[in-house]
Amino acid sequence: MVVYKTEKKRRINKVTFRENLQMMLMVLPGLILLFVFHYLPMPGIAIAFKKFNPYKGIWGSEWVGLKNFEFFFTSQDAVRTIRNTVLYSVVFLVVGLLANVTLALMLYYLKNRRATKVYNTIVIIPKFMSMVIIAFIVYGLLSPTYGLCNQIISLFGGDGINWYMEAKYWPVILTAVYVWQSVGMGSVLYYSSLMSMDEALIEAARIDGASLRQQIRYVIIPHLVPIMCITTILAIGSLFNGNLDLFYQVPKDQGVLYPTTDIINTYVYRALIGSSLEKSAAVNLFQSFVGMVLVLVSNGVIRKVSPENSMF
Amino acid sequence: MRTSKKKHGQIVLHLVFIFISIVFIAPLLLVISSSLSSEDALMRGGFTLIPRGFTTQAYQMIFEKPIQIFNSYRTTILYSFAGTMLGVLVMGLMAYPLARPNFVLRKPVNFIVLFTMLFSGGMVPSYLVNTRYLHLDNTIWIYILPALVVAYHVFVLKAGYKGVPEELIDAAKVDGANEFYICFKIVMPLSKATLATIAFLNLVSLWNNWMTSSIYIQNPELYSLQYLLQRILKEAEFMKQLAEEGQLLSISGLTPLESLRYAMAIVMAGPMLVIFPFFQKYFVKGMTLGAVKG
Amino acid sequence: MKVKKMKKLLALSITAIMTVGMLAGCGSAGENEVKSNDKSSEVSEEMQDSSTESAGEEPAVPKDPVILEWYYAGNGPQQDTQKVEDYVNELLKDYEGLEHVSIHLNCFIGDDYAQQVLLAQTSGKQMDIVQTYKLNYVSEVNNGTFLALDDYLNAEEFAALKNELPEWLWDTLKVNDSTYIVPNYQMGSNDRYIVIPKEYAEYADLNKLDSINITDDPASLTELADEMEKITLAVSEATGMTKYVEPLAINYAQSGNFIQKDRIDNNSGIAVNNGTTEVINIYQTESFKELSRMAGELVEKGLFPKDAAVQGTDTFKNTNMLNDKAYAVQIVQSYGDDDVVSALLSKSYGFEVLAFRLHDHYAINMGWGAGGNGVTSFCENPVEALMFIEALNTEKGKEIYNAVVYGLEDVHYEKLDDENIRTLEYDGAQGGTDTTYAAWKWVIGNTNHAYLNQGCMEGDKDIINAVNNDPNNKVSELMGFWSDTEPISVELSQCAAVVTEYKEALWNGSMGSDWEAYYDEFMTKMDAAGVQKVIDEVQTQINAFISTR
Repeated sequence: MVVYKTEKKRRINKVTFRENLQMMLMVLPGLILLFVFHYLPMPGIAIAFKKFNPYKGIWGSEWVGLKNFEFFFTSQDAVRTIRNTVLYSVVFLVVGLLANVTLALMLYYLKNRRATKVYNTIVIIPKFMSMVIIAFIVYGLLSPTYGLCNQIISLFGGDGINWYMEAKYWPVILTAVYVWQSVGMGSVLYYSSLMSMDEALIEAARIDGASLRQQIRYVIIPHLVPIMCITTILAIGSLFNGNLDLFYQVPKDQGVLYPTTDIINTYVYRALIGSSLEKSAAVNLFQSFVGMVLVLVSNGVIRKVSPENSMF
Repeated sequence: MRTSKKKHGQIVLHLVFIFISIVFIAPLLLVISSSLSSEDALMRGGFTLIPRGFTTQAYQMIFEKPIQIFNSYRTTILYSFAGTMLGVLVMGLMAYPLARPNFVLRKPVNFIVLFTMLFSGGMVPSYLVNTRYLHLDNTIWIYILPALVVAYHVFVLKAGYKGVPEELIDAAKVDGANEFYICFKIVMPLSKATLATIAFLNLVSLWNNWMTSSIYIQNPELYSLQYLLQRILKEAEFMKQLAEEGQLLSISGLTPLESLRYAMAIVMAGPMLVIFPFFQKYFVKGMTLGAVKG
Repeated sequence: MKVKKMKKLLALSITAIMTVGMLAGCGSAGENEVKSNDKSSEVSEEMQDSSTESAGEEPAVPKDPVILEWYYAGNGPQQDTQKVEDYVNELLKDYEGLEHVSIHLNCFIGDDYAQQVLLAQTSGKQMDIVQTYKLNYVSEVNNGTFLALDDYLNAEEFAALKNELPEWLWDTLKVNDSTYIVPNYQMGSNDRYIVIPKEYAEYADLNKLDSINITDDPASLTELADEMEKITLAVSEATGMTKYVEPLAINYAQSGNFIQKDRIDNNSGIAVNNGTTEVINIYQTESFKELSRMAGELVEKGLFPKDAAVQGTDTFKNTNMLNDKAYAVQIVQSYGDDDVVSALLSKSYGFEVLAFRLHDHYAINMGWGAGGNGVTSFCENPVEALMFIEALNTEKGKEIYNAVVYGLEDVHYEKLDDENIRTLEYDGAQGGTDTTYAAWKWVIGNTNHAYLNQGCMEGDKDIINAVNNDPNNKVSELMGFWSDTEPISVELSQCAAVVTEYKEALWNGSMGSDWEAYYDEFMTKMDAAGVQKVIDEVQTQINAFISTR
């Protein structure tokens, strides 16, 4: 018996070894590419701690410790920008998730395949517009004198709102723009996941008398949970990061709106006005580092709750 | 009873979608109309869905010197498609072991991939590696190679692969299949939708890329399409700066046309919209239980 | 099923491989281009060996081919850039001293330029000549980018170059008493003019306009502003159109030639009162506060749109002046006598205008906008490099200079006579990225030697020389002063951030009558950002500079 067991184990081990070898081969090209293009340049992070002289290179340049971080962290706007960045990231995450899943569901439940394809193509359009064009479109709506919104308001007898001077409206405006631009693309992921869901499950639920709401709650959502977890964790990694283009172009860089539109990235952009590689590297490092910590924490939390959905 | 409720639901859905479509198409119409409006009308700020002072001047300007835009189109199409196909291949392969519980190196590789998503060395070190050691600058490869592995997409693929029932794989193993076989013959075909999604995401990000041109390309033949638009936009900014600094004397006729931007945006977005339906056919409904039982 | 999938996979991989193969073709074409530069240096080494072998008796030894890499800002690589480069290299073969030299043009678009220079420096690329526009000149000198040129310039060889440019221009761009670049000669100063369309002349007191002279005294600014408002109201009433008044605050804050102050750091508003050595912040002056108030009032009165900050003021200006919702009079930047400027503007707008200068003298401020060409400290052929720069700046190299600026005769321009040409792709004084080739003459070299195209003023060069040599010019005392921003870099960037946040709303009067609260907020925030520390530090540096003269 013992002999048989160890033999089986050896056979299993051999098999496992061979399987693993094959899998390592599969991972190899990707790893090589990652190594060459991401890890080789990685030591460049050190720029954040140096006074960079291009002739001395990264290693030869003078070490200045945390000095490059000073301009941001001692500024009066540090708190404001960090707060804005984080708040927007959270709101975008939640609202984005809701919008993406909802749109994916709606597309899924549409019977007419042709119509689905058409609608799907239409909602993807904004993804191909550069932010400058989008800023122009927003301006077309919100321009105090010619914009569509104010024209409608005055039709109803009101005074137009000077949108670009009122900071309080912009969190909503920017969130709307964000959703408008990204929902088409964002929902594709969930939609394709729904597509690969086993129809029989829904069928079974329906036969059991489940209402639409129950179907969604007990069959579809659980199926989407893995994808939702991944996208959420990954989004948490960029919590302290914002899209410079969105926050710079769309509000047309109006200083009056900064209280609600100024994020870390826009602040760094205008404080450094082109120069200083090291300082922007320093702030980037800060953003990455915090992102990393948050990812590890959220992954840890998910691992406790439902281990199969954690990243590692 | 039920069927009319279903139909009722469908009608509601359609109405909602029509409303959504209006919200999404109207801005596009705005851009198209602006690209066909005269410069004067644009400056005066009237935003209409119908072009005012109809003129095809902007498009003429773009296609007047067709060489430049033809080259960029060709370059962009080439690297986008090559990059997408290679990327899906490499990432599709790479994600497979990560989804298999018996892969010994699963955790470390997971972490290696994740780390690259959070940290990056920055533009200068990457430039050094890419030009000094790899000599990729001013070639078409600079668009493709660095972008082949995107951590986010690898993780999405991994999640997609995990959706394939374990029983199928076990069944194949019993039949004596090795990992390559399982990957290519079983898991990937069943994850078509996910693969197609990633392929499309890849394609879009490659198509929209302009920073690479800005940093690495000096040969005008190798400019990406999006970079051409960016240049026009940058130039407008730059001319304004010059005027403020006092370097410009003759005022008129120097800033590029407003309508040119919008025409370029249309010219660039067009192809992608045409291509998307091609990907859509991969979003087919999943297999039925029967396959597993069999 | 299986076979089908196999086939699909096979098809996919074959396509991928084919594409890759195709790309290898494309790729290597590009690579070859890059590599050819390296190859030719190998060739030059070979030639060196062979030439020393064959050199036997004759005195003149053929020199080894030299390639110079020249970096400068402009329209970036354009369709015909290679053609122009080839042509310039042809010309060089006939230029004494540069027969063995070929130049490689590395032109980059404005914003990209600084980045590309940095990347080139970091990756050790060959750089021989670097133009400083859009670069931080002092930083570059401190990093050791440039070669000190004094010894070369004082030698017999380069006497022509040294004498070409006036002494004060050389002094302006010295750092620590050494010359590092050859400044590009152009007009040293602009002035501001008040411009009124001839059609509206009857509503204005032209003599008054002629006599207005702007100083830093808020009273003179108010005088001008009141006059502009008066004229605009009269025009509105007479024509029934909505006319706007240009707020002077914009001019005040943005340019050093409206109130003639030296600018030390434009981003944060640090400047020096011209004629004094007192360091101030533009935004903290009484004048700026007054002008902010006036801008707010204009908006209240409906004489300036409240959303101008978002809308932009381009549609109010220049060719639009006769239209509805535009300025009735405007402030324009130019140089030269009133009648010359009037003629030029009339030509470019398409209708007659009258221009009146706002100062009675020019102010040549510290710094030199156009920068200049310098030789890198690691250049292996500094003599050749400097000779090429000389070609761009003297009569001797006029043909080469104009070739780089305008391109090829009959392809890009039509020659009218020795001095004048007609550019075929653009009518303005300089061309943009949408041309097949155009460079900026003030970036390339000495504008005195440039051909004049249809966008230039009549007798432009004489005017420039007259302006630069006018005995009434007030030349800044701070010529040659460069501030060391190291000790105050944190405060400077924070001040820049604050200024960027508040300036536009104030100078456009967007707040209307509520401007003052916003202004006070601005001042408080600037103080907190450390503006006084900046002022004190710069003042110390300036005082030290003055005392060593």
